Amino acid sequence: MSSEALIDGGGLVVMSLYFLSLIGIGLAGRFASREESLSDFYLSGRSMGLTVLFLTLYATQYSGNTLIGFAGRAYREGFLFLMSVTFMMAVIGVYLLYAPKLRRLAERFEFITIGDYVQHRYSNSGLTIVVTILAIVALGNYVLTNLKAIGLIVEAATGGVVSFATGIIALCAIMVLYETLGGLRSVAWTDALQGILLLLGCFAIFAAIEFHYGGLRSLGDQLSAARPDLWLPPSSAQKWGWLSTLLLLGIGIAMYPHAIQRIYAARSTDTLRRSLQIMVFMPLVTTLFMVIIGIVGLSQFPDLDRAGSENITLLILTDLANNIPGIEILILLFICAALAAIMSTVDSALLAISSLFTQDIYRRLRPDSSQQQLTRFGKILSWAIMAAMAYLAIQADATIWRLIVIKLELLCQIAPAIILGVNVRRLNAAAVLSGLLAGTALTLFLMLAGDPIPSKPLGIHAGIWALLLNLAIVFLVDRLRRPAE
Amino acid sequence: MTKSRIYLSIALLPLLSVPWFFGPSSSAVVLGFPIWALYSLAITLLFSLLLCWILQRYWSLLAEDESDVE
Repeated sequence: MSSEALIDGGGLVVMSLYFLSLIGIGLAGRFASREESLSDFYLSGRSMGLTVLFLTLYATQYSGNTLIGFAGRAYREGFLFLMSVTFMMAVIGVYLLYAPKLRRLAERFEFITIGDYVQHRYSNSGLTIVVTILAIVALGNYVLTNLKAIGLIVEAATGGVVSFATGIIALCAIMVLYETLGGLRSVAWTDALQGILLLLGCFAIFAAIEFHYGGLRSLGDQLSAARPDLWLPPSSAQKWGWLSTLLLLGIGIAMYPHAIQRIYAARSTDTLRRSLQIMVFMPLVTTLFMVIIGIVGLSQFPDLDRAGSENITLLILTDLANNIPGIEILILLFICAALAAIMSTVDSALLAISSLFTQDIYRRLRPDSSQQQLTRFGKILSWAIMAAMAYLAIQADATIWRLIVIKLELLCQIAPAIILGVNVRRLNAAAVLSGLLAGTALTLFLMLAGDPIPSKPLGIHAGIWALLLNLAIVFLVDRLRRPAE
Repeated sequence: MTKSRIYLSIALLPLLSVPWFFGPSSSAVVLGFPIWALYSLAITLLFSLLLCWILQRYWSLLAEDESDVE
């Protein structure tokens, strides 16, 4: 890690004030809470209005990986990674396959978690527990990934003054503090601030590189010299890989349990519908900007290795700061935006894990617990989970992208239970459970087997092969178990 | 528009956004983008407009359950 700090003492003060403001917002969320109940703590009392709902959906869906990983991937893959704009949009398309009906059911039956819907729909505890465990494992990977990114950014930004481990521990403490103060209300309000920062950061960096480097049109020659292969259309294998990525990320991201909870938490159906309408266009001003930044970075710094390419946005910003006086503020804005994006993702995932465990597992073991006892348990659990995640993030060793793929591969296997569940009335629980178990087993086998078994047979992600098997088994078992008409 | 057509259009546009029809010779550059990348971006833009329109006009239809109709 570079020993040269990207932000000075003044920047550190601004960053600290920003973190303190998050705790202040957490406190405001606590004062605004109406009762000590799971619905109030985990769903903000189902009262989220349009602005907060949109910003929390935005900040949650676009993580630190969007700001760091996407630009790095665009640097390595070039225009091929424009697929990221489509897959972030496809997420809203997948929502349309189930959210309208799920929202209607959630209003009527007051769901809190994804497990509540599964239990209501299939009346099968085994299936509910398997879905809950898969969701917890996937979210755990998600939190872990983002915590590692937090440590790396803080260490890089402060030139090592704040170490990787200290950065993770400090920000984890802040997140869990504001989260347990006011639950989803606090998380959503902090998300709103973080969403604005993320959007501002993307716009400001994009505008600065367009102004300074002249954008893609004027960089054609440099790009051709650096990577002539960039202009060639994808090969047949790459096209199938493109489709596989669209499916994996479009379906997987739409199954995020914390995003599903926001479907429940909207003040009204109209609020949810309008939030999603705005969300449709966000890939065009977030993901597309980051892809272009990655490609512009390739024209300016053509010889970076994989690890170097992950820092391409910071490299560009440092270059800009060296050439344009007074633009150092952009580096601070980017670092704050990246941390904001990560924190808004982690706090939401943490809250979702806590709710899944409390509502779908603990409540079954202690059916006589009151709402106050359950809420208190959920808060204590949040601290325990965060401590465990911080420990793992400091100790574990894996690359950001690979962890993300494992998470989405697992979440894809939940999709039939949700999407078919709301759309096919006669589907039975045994069929869905069989498909889910087979799909999960195949995912894990392909991902973990190693040589000579490829994790992406024929260039298609393990999660997509597993989803096909999952669907085939759902169809077959459903046919076999359906009573003769 | 029926539910089936809505679902079909949601599936079709992402599928079409993959530049299937561009062979190795398609390397023209338009507005700083390779033509196949611009094609993919154009389909993605169309997809965003379609989704926005479906959300505006057909949410209620998509929220309907068969049991409501019966």
